[in-house]
Amino acid sequence: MRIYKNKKIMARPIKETPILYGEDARRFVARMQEKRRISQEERARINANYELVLGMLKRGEALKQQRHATAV
Amino acid sequence: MQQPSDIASTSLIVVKLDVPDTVKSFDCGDEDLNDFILHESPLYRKEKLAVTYVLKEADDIANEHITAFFSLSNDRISISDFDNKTKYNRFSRRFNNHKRLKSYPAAKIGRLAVHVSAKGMNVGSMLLDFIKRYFTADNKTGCRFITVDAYSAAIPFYLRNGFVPLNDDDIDEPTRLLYFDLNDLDED
Ligand SMILES: CC(C)(COP(=O)(O)OP(=O)(O)OC[C@H]1O[C@@H](n2cnc3c(N)ncnc32)[C@H](O)[C@@H]1OP(=O)(O)O)[C@@H](O)C(=O)NCCC(=O)NCCS
Repeated sequence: MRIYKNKKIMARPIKETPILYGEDARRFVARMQEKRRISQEERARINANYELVLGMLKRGEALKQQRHATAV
Repeated sequence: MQQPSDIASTSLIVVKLDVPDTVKSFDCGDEDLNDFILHESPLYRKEKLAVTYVLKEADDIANEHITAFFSLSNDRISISDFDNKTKYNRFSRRFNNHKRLKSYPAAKIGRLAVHVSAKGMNVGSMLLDFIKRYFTADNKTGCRFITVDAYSAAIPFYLRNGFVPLNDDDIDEPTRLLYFDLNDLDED
């Protein structure tokens, strides 16, 4: 919540994922069955970014535990 | 595109925010998204509705200068045999039966934003790449799709990253539901 012009404003809630009906449902299922493949280049980039951020997450969690241990 | 190695050498870390953790300041250029990370995300966390991860420098213990954040929750995409919601509601009221609904497991990016100072440097795409692989590399419970409740200004960014809209019902709304099929990453 924030105050803007003396009014309280809530951040927009995260929207529910809607149920798909009719044509939307048919299009979705058809697309799900299509075989789309990303390029080797894109796959290599995704994998590299995954490893990079996973490393950051592991470092972050290790640091948090370290700090927690010294605080206790 | 910037190579990940450009930032691999920095002291950036990612941490999952725990219940008492707060973010002290953040500016992505959108007041509503700033408000989410500063004030609303702890409520989602406390109620176990969404978990928020922040990208920041290792020495930023108090979360005063975070570079980016993303919030994740469990989700599903459900499809119905019915042509529209009215017919479906009429049927399920009468028979109290949800069998005519098929659901696929998904993980949802509730919110994702990058600090104004780091915009356009592929940080957002790097985080999307991570999320896509995170749920395929460690598919513990089955997850076929990544969904996102995207702010309209960020839709081109998600389209560039392989997401597509679920339907056109929310075309004029401030946020739209988009999804990415994790099978697109398969090798065969
Ligand atoms: C949307 C957001 C998450 C993108 O993150 P980012 O790190 O800046 O994006 P990236 O650098 O990974 O961009 C990847 C590609 O998407 C494009 N892109 C990013 N944001 C875009 C936008 N809002 N509109 C159109 N294209 C966009 C980039 O040009 C880039 O393409 P390129 O590889 O050809 O250069 C980030 O800008 C943000 O947090 N915005 C929040 C505020 C907001 O939505 N403001 C509205 C105005 S943008």
